[in-house]
Amino acid sequence: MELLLGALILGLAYAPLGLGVFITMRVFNFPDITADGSLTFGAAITAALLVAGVNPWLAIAASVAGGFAAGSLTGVIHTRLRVNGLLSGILVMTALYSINLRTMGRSNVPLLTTTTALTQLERPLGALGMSMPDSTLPPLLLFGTIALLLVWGLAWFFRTDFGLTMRATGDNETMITAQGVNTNAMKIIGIGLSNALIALSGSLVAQYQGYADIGMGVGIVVFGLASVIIGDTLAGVFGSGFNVWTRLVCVIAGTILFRVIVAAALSVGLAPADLKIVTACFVLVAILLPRTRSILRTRGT
Amino acid sequence: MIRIESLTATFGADIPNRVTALHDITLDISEREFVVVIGSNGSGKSTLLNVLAGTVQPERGRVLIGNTDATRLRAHDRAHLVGRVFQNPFSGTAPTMTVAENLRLAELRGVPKGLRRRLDARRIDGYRGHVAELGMGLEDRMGTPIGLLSGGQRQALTLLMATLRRPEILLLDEHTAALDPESAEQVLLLTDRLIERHRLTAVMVTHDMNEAARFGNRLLMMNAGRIVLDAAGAEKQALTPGGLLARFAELRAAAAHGH
Ligand SMILES: Nc1ncnc2c1ncn2[C@@H]1O[C@H](COP(=O)(O)OP(=O)(O)OP(=O)(O)O)[C@@H](O)[C@H]1O
Ligand SMILES: [Mg+2]
Repeated sequence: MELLLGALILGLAYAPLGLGVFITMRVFNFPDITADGSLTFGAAITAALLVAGVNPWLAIAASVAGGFAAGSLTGVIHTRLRVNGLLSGILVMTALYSINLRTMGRSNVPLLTTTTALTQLERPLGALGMSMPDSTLPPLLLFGTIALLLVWGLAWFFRTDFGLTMRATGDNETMITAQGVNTNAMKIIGIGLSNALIALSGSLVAQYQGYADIGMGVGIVVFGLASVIIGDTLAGVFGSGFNVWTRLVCVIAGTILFRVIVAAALSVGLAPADLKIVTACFVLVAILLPRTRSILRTRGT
Repeated sequence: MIRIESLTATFGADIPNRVTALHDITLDISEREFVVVIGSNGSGKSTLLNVLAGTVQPERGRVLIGNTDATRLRAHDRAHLVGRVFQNPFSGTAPTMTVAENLRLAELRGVPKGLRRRLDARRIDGYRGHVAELGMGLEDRMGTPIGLLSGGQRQALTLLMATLRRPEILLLDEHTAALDPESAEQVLLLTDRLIERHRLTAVMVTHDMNEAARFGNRLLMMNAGRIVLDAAGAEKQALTPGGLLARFAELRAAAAHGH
């Protein structure tokens, strides 16, 4: 139960990451490695500002802005300077490593004694007579609310005229250019939006875990992708692969489920060191599975 | 009105075997002209349309569309002037988006797309009327992702999208070539009807001499980046598929002679 609750909270904290990866991978079909750096960037900005005594909500906003800047930089390098998409992400991710170290001043910043958004929530919740053991209520409520707001906001956004344009940019550039859209600008905004969400996750996770660490973003794209793939599978089960609402909700469910699976695997003895290779293999198999299935089918007929 | 002035377009300007796809072309297309363009492979037909659409930048010359000097306008900056249907049925629509969503984007061709949800039931009903006129039974499938439709259905919808907001010029590059004969005929008749109805100015590239003789009120034949035949009015009406093929044979013989 305790394990499940922890996984649920962590899943919700990583929900913005899942949504961010969904935007680059599923909307734009753009494998964006910037995420590894921008998640840490979000955590680093929050950590530095919290240690300096800045209001936690302002720190979260600054992290989101920083993530957007990092993502749109990748977009500019890719579209305006015409650098290969993967390489653009790798360049920004690598540059962010230095920026993150500079922002934090060292490789690990503990936040256990500083005021965070979570400690700020504790008192009003306590005054209302609401509490749960190990102060799990503030993160559960905060991260859950953020996840819900994001799903609602993105579902709305992707149905606005601007949001339709963004989806069409990922779908068919020839078509949307013919409708008068500057696809470069759309990609820059889209990748920026994705990384803003990913940096938000970094900020939330740092506050929840009580530290920001230079290595916390390593391999995070693959974790996000695993969540998106689990979400896609769920969406497929519900049989509405194209409905934006369902897909976004399924991404959130995917991130939570992914964390539950990870927690379960660790508790039955998976060494934390092996987590990344196992996740990478999972993603590889998930990508190959539909392909082998269709190969088998064509061979069968 | 469209005006092309001493237009030259070159590919691979910086490599030894550069190709001049258009040689100093000057062309006026008046309001409501339906121009059919024929010519052998590589004669520059697509390049002509791409220069008009802005996806190819000319090396020299000017392009005027309506009252706008479009020479330096990028494709997305002149989209309000141009409606396009491509040869590949996959090119004209966003496959994972619904019929209604595609039409909404087409309705906004060349105008800013805001942060507002405007695709409501009333608007979809409006589109449904237009879609019903295609006569393909697609009016009940407004919520279907367009990628699930057939090539012919997609081409018909692309045509509707290109004309939903009246363009100064409609560009059709072999837009029925990838379709089966029946769908091709259906889309061609639809093309003719929409051009007539909206009183459009249009340029259509085709490889089919029958189509070239049947449709349009002006015909251009291109060869090696030049316009070698320009027939309008009664002269165009008098053209036959056989006559056009004979002209092609003449050109080929002349080229062989030249070598
Ligand atoms: N993007 C490009 N890069 C290099 N050369 C090109 C490019 N596009 C066209 N060309 C060349 O320009 C010339 C004209 O090509 P274009 O596509 O306009 O011919 P076309 O008349 O449309 O032929 P088709 O009937 O085969 O479609 C050809 O020699 C072609 O090889
Ligand atoms: Mg062509």
